[in-house]
Amino acid sequence: MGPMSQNSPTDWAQALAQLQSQFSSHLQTFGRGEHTLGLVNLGDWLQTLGGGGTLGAPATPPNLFALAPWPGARAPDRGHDNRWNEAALRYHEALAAMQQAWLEIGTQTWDQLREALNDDEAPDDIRGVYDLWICCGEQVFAHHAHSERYGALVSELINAQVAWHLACGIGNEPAPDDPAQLKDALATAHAREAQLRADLEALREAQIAMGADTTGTKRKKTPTRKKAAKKASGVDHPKHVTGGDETARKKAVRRKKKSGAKTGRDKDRS
Amino acid sequence: MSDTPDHSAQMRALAERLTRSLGQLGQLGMPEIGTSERQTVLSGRGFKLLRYGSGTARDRGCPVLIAYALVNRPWVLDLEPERSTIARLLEAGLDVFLIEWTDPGPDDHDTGLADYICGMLDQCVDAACAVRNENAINLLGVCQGGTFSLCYTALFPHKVRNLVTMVTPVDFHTKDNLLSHWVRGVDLDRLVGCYGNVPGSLLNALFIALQPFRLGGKKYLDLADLANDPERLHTFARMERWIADSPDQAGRAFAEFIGTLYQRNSLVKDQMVLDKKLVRLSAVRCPVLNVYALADHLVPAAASRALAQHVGSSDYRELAFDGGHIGIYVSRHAQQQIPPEIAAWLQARQ
Repeated sequence: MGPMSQNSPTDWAQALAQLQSQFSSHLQTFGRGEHTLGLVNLGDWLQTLGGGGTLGAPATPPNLFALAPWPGARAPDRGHDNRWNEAALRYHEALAAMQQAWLEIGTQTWDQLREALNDDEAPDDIRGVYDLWICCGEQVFAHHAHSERYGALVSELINAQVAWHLACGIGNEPAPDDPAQLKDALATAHAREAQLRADLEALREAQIAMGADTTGTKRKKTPTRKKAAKKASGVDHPKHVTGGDETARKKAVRRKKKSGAKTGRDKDRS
Repeated sequence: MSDTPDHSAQMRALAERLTRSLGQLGQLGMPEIGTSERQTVLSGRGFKLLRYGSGTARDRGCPVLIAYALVNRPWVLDLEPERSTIARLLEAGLDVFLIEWTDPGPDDHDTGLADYICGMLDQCVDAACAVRNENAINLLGVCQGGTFSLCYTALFPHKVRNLVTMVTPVDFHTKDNLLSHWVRGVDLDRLVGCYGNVPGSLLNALFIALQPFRLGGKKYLDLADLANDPERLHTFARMERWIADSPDQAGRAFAEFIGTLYQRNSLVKDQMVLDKKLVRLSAVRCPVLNVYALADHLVPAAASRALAQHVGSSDYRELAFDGGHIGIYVSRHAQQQIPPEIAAWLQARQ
């Protein structure tokens, strides 16, 4: 490989691809030992893009979404099973769509890097250019990753892999799906139910509190009422009989009437 | 450019340094993490309650119960002696309890959020209160554990004296929440039907996929800079061990968390239900300290700061950390800033 210059970004691309490939193979060798590192191999993908970054080239995205090894992951020979075939096709389509997105991310990253390398203050050592490439990559990726399209690609890749595993006989197929709208409606209904329960509980507590308050008042009033009634009927102890017993009797009758009316209203309410 | 260096030579030099780093890393063996002194206070199905430190000074310290997330191990809070949030909280005079969620077994796939929050977390609160002879506890919820803590405080307000939330998602639909954006279309019924418990490797893949260039490439090339620096190599190895160790998730709890929060954003809509009870953030009336990271790629600051609009507390304070989701636990800057501020805030309200 000859000397690099800012005018030959393809050289840079190839150099970075080689660098990435080299260090990922170092890491993989290390990872095969007793130590476990969460490795991501960007080497092959970079190698392809480093070759020119042409759209449509068979670039492999990094194995960020290689969700295996999942428990029981296997690929049995079920070539005659339609469901399996459909699930396998769906998965491969989802993977291809993700690969396409990554090809675009990779290509745009190189474009951005090429532009950045034209800057007077651009680094001219391989490590500096590598860091610049990472920076460009994260920027381009962020733009893609927040799009509706990319979100849908991630969801579909996960759903397709699950469907494929289910078709392989891994796990249990759940009952037919409720439509998403129904699920949302159910969740809202559960929340409403819980809300009503909470309101009901609050009302009960308030009623108990009011009841306690009313009982407290009655406890004070009841003896007076009884006393008045006794006074009215003349059964009370003579020492409590005063000159105003007729007035007390009238008051007691009024209270009794009032009390009766209250009970009636309460009944109506109930 | 006539004086441009030969990149083949640069690459050889870099490869040599990387080889040296990896060789030294290999000689370190499996690094130990989570080594602070602790005792198990209570064990139950799905959890252990740990208490850190020892001695009579601890018994006089202001107690705090840490509820960590289910999706990673809590040892990032005690990565190594110099990078340990737990050690710094102890040094600041707190009596630290921690819930260690244990791995779900095949029979635990039906364990739901209510089991974790209204069951296990509640048992831990009661146990910590009993140890300390208190009737309420200071709760520190971290990440997903912060969301659990908010729900718990809303449902059991009399049991929480003060609440600290740390990098806690509250509004799951903020514009910059990439994870939320990606999982909205995932068919959770089929995912859980297929795997029972959701494999930790899936979550790990998703977390790395959020920053693919940095986490998949740069981080490892930076290893070359660590050659002949055993201390930093140790830290690197410990972080790698922690990152790679993602526990499986109880299927039902995972589906409820993603469905209720990431897909429907129920918490901020007052529509989250646990054990048939409505979780209302307005019911959180105790003092709240909300700690968030400004460069958090997993729980964006806006997702955490949304708490201010919903919480019912009149004593609500925010603490911003200038760093990321992991840096807030382990960076030297965070070690100096976050645990002392949390401790001071709690002690002032004890």
